[in-house]
Amino acid sequence: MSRPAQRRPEYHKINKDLFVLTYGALVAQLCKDYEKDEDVNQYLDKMGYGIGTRLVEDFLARSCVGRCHSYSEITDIIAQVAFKMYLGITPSVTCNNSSKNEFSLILDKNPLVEFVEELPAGRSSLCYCNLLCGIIRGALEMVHLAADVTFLQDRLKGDSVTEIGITFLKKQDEKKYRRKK
Amino acid sequence: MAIFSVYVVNKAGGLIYQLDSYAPRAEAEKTFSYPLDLLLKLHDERVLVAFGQRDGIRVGHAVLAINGMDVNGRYTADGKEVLEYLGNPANYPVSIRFGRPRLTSNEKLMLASMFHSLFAIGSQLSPEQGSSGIEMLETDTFKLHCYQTLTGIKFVVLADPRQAGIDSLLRKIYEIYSDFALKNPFYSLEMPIRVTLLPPRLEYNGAITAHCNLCLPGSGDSSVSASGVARITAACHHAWLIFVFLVETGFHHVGQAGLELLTLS
Repeated sequence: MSRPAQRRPEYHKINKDLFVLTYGALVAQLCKDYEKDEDVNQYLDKMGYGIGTRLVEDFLARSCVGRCHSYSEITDIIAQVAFKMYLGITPSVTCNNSSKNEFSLILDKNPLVEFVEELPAGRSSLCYCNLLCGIIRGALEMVHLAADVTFLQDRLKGDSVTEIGITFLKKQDEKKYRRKK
Repeated sequence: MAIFSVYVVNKAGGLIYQLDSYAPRAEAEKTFSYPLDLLLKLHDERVLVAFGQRDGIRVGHAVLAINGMDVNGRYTADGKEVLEYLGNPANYPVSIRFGRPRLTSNEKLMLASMFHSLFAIGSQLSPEQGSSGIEMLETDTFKLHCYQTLTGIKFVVLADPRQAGIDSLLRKIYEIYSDFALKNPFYSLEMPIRVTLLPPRLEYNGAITAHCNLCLPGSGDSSVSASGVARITAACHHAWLIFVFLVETGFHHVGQAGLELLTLS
């Protein structure tokens, strides 16, 4: 009874609402704990970083993507494979500059903000989904790519779309390890 | 055909997980009377046979147990020196077990870091850039398969040279590592893995063969050095998760290749 090598394990389904509510509770608690928006954003990013460093192994183990040869390939994979695998959405990718190291992911649907209408008063610079930025940053760093990931536009702040910007910085030391993903 | 060992090496070359699962090696236990007709010598904190090879006891074999009790390096279980003990005619007749000395944890650590260096050299030697590094090391008694992930962790499996399907085994180990080590929030990356895992059972050719438990005492903390200290698991506690490798012991398989992976609920 041969089994294809890349069969996905059964994912026990849980209610997506539970996940969205948990995230919301997390952000709400952070807002209570910290007065400044920058602090909340920073902690969300840190948490996301910790998640990203671990999630990347799970992603690589299950998706069997090979080595990428360019930043645009990497961004495509993040958008089409990783986001699809973990959030069920597929953001579109655009390249922002000619030197090909700044990209944007445009999310038309973001499950994390399903129940959020608008940011509370006094929290106008809160990046609600900053966890995602941290996750992407942590994941890229584990494959030896330094990147800056921020929200360029956010529907919650009144912009028309939600846009995550990824700027790849100079490559880290890759002498000892395999070439970048 | 069997899997002999599994090693997981972190990015810095430190061994973070190790499992030995080979069937008992050739060991010989015999009763001796005074005087002992083998010449024993002390080497590297072990008592080895230097001369007098016979009957399954070969030069280089170490004294593993005296009268059924495992020796502790050069000392018996009671704390007496082995050579002294065996030099005293009053202790005879004595039953001594000889066998190939087992690797200590420190030796395994050293081997892992040496392999890590060799791996790095291997990648550098490649005529083309972006080489994958050492993927297989072959000898007449075993094959070493190595899989390095894109993040730099290496999974090394030592198996019988005829055993096939190790590639899928390595991928599966990677998946399990990502599941059980990484998703544990109290596990710090690059540290030795101390988690008891759940088995996805590996079936070889559909026939269930004997399996060996790969389990690690659970606990997230460890007082270890930065490079990682290997802890060979001793006992398996009542596991909330156990990781199982199927290893063929005593079953003769004239089978074709392919490790089958089956997840049983």
